[in-house]
Amino acid sequence: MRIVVAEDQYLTREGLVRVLTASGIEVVAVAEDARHLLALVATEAPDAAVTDIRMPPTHSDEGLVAAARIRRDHPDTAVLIVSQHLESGFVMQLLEDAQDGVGYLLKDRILDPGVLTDALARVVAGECVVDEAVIRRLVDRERRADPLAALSVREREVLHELAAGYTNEAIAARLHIAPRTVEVHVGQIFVKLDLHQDDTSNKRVKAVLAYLRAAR
Amino acid sequence: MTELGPALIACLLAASLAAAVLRRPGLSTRCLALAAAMGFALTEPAGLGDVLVVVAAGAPLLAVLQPERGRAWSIWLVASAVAAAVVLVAVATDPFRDPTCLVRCSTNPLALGRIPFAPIVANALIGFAAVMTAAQAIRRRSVLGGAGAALAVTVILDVASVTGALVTAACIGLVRGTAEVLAVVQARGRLADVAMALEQSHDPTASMREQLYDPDVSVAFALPDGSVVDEDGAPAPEVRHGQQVDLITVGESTIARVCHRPTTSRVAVARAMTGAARLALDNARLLAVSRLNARLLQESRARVVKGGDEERRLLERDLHDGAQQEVLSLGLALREELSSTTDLPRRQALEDAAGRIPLVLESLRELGHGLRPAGLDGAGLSIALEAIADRARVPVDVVSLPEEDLQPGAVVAIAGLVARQADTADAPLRVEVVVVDGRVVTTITGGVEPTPVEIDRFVTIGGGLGCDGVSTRAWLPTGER
Repeated sequence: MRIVVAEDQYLTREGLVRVLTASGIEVVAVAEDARHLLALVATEAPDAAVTDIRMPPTHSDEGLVAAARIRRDHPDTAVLIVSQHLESGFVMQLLEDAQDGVGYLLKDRILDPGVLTDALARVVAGECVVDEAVIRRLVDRERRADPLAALSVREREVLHELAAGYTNEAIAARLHIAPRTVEVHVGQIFVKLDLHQDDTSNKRVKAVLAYLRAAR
Repeated sequence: MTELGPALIACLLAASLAAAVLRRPGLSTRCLALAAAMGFALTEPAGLGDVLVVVAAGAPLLAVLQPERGRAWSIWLVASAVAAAVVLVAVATDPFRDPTCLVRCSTNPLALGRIPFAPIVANALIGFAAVMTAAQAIRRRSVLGGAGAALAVTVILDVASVTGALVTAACIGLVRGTAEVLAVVQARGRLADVAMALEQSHDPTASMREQLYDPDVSVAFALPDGSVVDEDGAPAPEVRHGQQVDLITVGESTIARVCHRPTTSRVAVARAMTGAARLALDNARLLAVSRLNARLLQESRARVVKGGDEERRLLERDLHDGAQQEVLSLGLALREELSSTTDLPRRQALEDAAGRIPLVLESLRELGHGLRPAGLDGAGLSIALEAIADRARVPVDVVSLPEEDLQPGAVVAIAGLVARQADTADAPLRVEVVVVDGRVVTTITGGVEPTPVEIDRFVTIGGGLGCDGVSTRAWLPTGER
């Protein structure tokens, strides 16, 4: 797998490159800002780009904007955002702007090479990836009346996996249950939460996240 | 005068005696009259004041010096002159006179101010005339004239005596009473002028232009520090080329600067600036000073708020760029060390340390959020409010957000308000942000009453913040100031 990395902080950038290289991923180039990243994606045509959100010049949402542009202009390059921010707002913006092949992980995951490489493999495969800490925070939000109370324990587990962007097969493998059972759970969740069930992974993730953010 | 007076009187009396001995009655009488006049003048009784009184007092002298016109004529002339003097004293005596006298007294032609020797001259003239009249009457054997002159001489020579005092007191009482009545009438007129001038004082420039028939007149106010400001307290424009500058003062201090056409005389400016007009101008100056102070305070408040925001932004950036990446690279170093260590106790220590790294990162992340919620650097209000809702202890419903992008200052202020409300509220919050009539209106229902600091924050960027007990409502202009 060939990737480019965009990160303005030296220590983090070097650490990221070291971890990825150690995991057998080929880092073909590094960028220190979004403009450079876009140029590298155009010339190197990598399988994926790993980028921070806050980068020069304004240190606001450069990485998110770049991700949307890469997905639009270079459909063969997936994007994995690696951010310091545990903000569902950023995740929603990313999913709004790109249909698939995008992911959002906390920088903490650099310390967990397995999670990092797994996420990269999934975005390259066209799935959506959402950091589990983001899902947990959304699920744990204070609510007036908890609509999630209607879900069984198992259904809640499946909801977590669903929101993190896993496919039915992946969920079955991770929870050690049969794919058919997962389908039943997913169907139940969508019925109980009154959500429209969509087949594509991305739309499913978006629907669940939007529900969690809006549910009061 | 006080030392010379008695000597002069003595000389004149001696001269009168000598003239009598030398059988020169006319000269003797004149010398006696002069001595009496001087004695009377030196006693300087109260109340006689102004130059017109002196002129009126001079009339009996005229009568005395023209005896051939007839006795009745002299008596009537004396009587009418005394009556005129009494009226003039009443009108001219202004008990309310002061250095910053209001408009009526300055237009009263009689109130020209006390002329230093006017009473002395007036009394001298009356005394001289009385003695001369007495001499004339004695010479003509006129009973009535002699009696009148005798009475006058009594008053003159014996002014401090009981009889004189009673007559004088009666006269003074009459004069003072008339003066009081006239003064009340005048004071009412002056008060009306003051009220009118104060009403017009919100625009002293306009009233000056009207009075001076000069559309280019500009009025500016002087501050104690020497600077010059306009009616709103803003720095006054430079004096235009070709304009003349007049300074208006009250007491020692300059209160205003009037620029006008060079053809307008200073007298005209001074006349336009008397009495109530001056009071109105000073009033306008105080208003300008208070506006200036209010603006300075507002600017200072804005600097304090802005400085605090900037400080938080830098702190958060330092945390993000500094501490967090250091901890992350420390975590990576620990992982690498762990992978190359086989010694069991050492591995356990390393694992323990590595296990703490995510907790430290979590703490730093939440500290950063507390300093400044994410999304305030251009990512938008929606992300900032979601970040707050994600962490709030109470449910936070964001029911509506404006379609358009808000100014960064507005996003910071609104997010800051919602964050503090979410931190302190113990009931669910409902947040609504809408744009109405060019204003961003944020309504938070269920929160607590905003603090003065929060109100300051909105006021400094041109908005406001209010609470009606149920909901807190903040408004901001859509274009940031």
